[in-house]
Amino acid sequence: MRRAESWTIADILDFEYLLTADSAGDDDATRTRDRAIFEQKIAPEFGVADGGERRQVFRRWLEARREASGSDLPGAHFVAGWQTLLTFATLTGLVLGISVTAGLLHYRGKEPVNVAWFFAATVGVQWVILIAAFAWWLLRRTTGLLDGFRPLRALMSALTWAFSAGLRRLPGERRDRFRASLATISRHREIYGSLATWPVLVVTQVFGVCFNLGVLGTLLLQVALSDVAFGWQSTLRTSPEEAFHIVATVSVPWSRLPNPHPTFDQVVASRFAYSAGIAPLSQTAMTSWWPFLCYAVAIYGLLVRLFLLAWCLGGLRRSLRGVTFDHHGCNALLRRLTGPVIQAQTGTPALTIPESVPGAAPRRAGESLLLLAEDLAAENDALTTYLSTNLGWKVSKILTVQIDHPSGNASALQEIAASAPQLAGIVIGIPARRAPIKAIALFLQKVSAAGGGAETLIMLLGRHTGETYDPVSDEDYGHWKNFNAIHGLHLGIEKWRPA
Amino acid sequence: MSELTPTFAIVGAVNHGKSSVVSTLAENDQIRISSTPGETVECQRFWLHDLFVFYDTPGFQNAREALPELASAAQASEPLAVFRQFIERHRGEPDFESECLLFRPIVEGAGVLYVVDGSEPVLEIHAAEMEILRLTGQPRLAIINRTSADDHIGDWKRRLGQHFNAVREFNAHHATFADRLELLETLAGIEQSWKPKLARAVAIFREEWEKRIRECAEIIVELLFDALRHEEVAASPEGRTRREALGEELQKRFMASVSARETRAHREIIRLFGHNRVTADATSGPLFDSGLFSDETWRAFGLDEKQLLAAGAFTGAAAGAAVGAKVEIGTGGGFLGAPTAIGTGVGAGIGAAAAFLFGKQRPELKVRVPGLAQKFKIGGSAVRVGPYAAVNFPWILIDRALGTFAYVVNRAHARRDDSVIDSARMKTALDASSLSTAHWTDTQRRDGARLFGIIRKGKAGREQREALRSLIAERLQALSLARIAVD
Repeated sequence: MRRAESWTIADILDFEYLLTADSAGDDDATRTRDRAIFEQKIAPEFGVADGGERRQVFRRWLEARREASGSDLPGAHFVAGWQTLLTFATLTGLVLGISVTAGLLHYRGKEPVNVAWFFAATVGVQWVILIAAFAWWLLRRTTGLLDGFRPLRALMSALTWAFSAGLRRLPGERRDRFRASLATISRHREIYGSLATWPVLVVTQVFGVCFNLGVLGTLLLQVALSDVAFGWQSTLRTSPEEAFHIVATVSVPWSRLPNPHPTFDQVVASRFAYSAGIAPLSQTAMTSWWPFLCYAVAIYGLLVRLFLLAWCLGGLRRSLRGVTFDHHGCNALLRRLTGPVIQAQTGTPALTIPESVPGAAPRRAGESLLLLAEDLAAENDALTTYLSTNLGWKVSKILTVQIDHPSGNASALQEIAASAPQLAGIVIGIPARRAPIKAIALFLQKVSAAGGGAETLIMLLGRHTGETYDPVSDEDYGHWKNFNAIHGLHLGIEKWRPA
Repeated sequence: MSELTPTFAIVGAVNHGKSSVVSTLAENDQIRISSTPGETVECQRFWLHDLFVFYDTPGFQNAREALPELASAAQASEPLAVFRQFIERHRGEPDFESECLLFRPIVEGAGVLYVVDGSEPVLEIHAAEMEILRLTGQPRLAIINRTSADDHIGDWKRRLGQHFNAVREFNAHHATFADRLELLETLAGIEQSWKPKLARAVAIFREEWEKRIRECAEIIVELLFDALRHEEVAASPEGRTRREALGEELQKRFMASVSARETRAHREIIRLFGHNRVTADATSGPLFDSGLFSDETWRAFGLDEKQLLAAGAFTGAAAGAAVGAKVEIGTGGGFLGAPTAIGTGVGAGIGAAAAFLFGKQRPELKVRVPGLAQKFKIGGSAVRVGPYAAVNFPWILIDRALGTFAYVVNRAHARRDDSVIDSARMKTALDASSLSTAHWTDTQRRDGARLFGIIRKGKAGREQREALRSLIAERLQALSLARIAVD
């Protein structure tokens, strides 16, 4: 069974980059290279590729191209840029979490740390951001409102910036291709869906996770290493019963764990008022809040962020699995790889045509013999007149010959040999549209040999129309000249020219 | 190669169009063909997996001399042995070089595809060729090709009928995909044992054809996505005059970029169908004389005012209704559907007005200069041209692409003339066959208009891409079945 091929964003960036580069390159060279990759590295494993195997086939192609291209591909730059952003998100998340918590836990014995403020600043703000993000997404999805407000795109630009730091060293053309491949997956949602969004969301969730870790770690350290007291306060006439009810409701998710929240008495004993000061508050009650706060940060902050991080990573994986590789660049690549449906043997030789050789010696006037191909009319006044007027040759006799049957003209050849000494020339009338084949060359050689010193002339004739012939095309004339050269006949060739 | 692979030798008189038939069968316009007789000097092999093989052979050069030597095959228990002896006897002899080459695949078991030119008269040499091929005893099909207007087909049919299992007319210079398939199916008929493999080959061709139509639809969809979302942006300079100059420059840049994108798409369509001698009109046409943004193009292509009105009003109404429905949701449905109805009416009105106003005219490309809000934007303000909002724009792009598609599917690969597609002429041909966008059904046009709206807003995802691809593929399919005169 073939193993499933997994793709990463870096792979897709490299893939798009190479496709872009190929689309600008030489067609034949690209086709030859890809066909060779297919035959050497893909076909032995997969056989003939079809649509269902595109992921695997393209993966193998990418590996082969990576080997040949070296390491300077955008995928590596993207990974470096993404890792930089992840590191940045980790550090800033931790630092922010630590600083916020350290600031909130500032306790010098005069007033306890306000539990509600701590909860709001650490967990509440995160929930406000999450709810705002969800509302923004919902509005964008259902209405045209907020179309221009794209925080993720801004973050995407940050990612591009992080990874283009490495690009600046590259020549312009390659840098453009790098950017084109990134733009392909970020702009073409119709092809890659939300693939480009997930890495950015992962960065935000890593930041969130680290922020919560920072908060939680600092809280635990402060509790363990210094004296911190917590209390609650309110200007409103909030009763301790109401405060306890809120705390108990908030801590429902971890209610089965030890010390999920302060008891009612502890809530009563930790209510702080500036007028009374800290002295009346119970030390035990004030310290009973920290497990509740730890649980709250762990469950409402860290756990939610971990869940969202897992969801983003899952979304990224789903997006990568959902890439269908069916846009035109992929289709064209598959065609290059698998070759044409019908394959052709290559390297067959072409017909070589030697230089044209000069015709026979200068013409002299006198008697001539007219040999007519059997598919021409035997009686031909127009032709005899033409020969007499244009060449000064009086036709003494007309013979019908099988020009494509060298051994089939014995009597005609005898007659040529017999009358040759008195002849100025021998004219062979041939329809110009007849294909000049080997058999005709053999026949002409025999006529030439039988004619001795008499000039042998090929008279090309156009289509027979009425009493005369159509003109001979330059193309046909050219073919016969080439034929004369190919077979080394050294014969004169005339073409019929109507009066 | 399996022993049962159907194999054919394509033989015939010199210059009767053997290579043209091969070129058409193999969909390959790179095969050497010329009017120079005897261009093919060696057998060239073509194959489709193990489903069939055919050989393009040199033509007969000396058939009347060869016939007497082969006549004994008529009485021989194994006729091919006589041909084998002939090859042995004349190995290396220039007089029978071509005959030896063309007999070789036949003595190895190939069937015979004898190609004749129906515009040439039947001569004694052809009679000799036919007799030689009959003596082989192999399955034989004669193909009457036609290279000029003269007609000797009747004579040929009479003579060929006496020597061949089947005779077919096949004009390699006008053959379409359907003709190729028919020819292959006829080949399957002359030898029973070849039938299964040739039937599979036909199935592969059909599948390949479907695949190409889908791929072509994808090319057109990508063109539409790119063209409808394209914009040119540049940092706004200080001063009105400089901004106006930049706006004009961006307009030119926009038109050049979109035209170049269209040219690329057309080139890809041409390449997809294996044509190397065809150039898209878009490539050669000057931008404003006959190119995508010329007035002539806008008059000839796309939908007329009425059709635009219907599609525009429908999409406008849909958009208006959606806005109305949102208002209703926002107000808790307190207005008993009035916002939806008003939205529908207003949307339809705006859509209809846009269609009526812009209709067959090419609307000016708008230059967006920075407004007050943009002036204070961090990072500076920008001058923008595009995306192009003209309602007819996508329909014009589709019509021009359909024209290129119609041309390449109807042009035979045997043709060796370099040609430039005359898109205006193709539009006339499409109209004559009722296949231009103006002849799409109301539903198809409305679906198209709705999808273009979503693409323009930048909200199209995979679902919309697939919907548009299906719509266009369906039209291409219909177009591929029509026989359209391309020249």
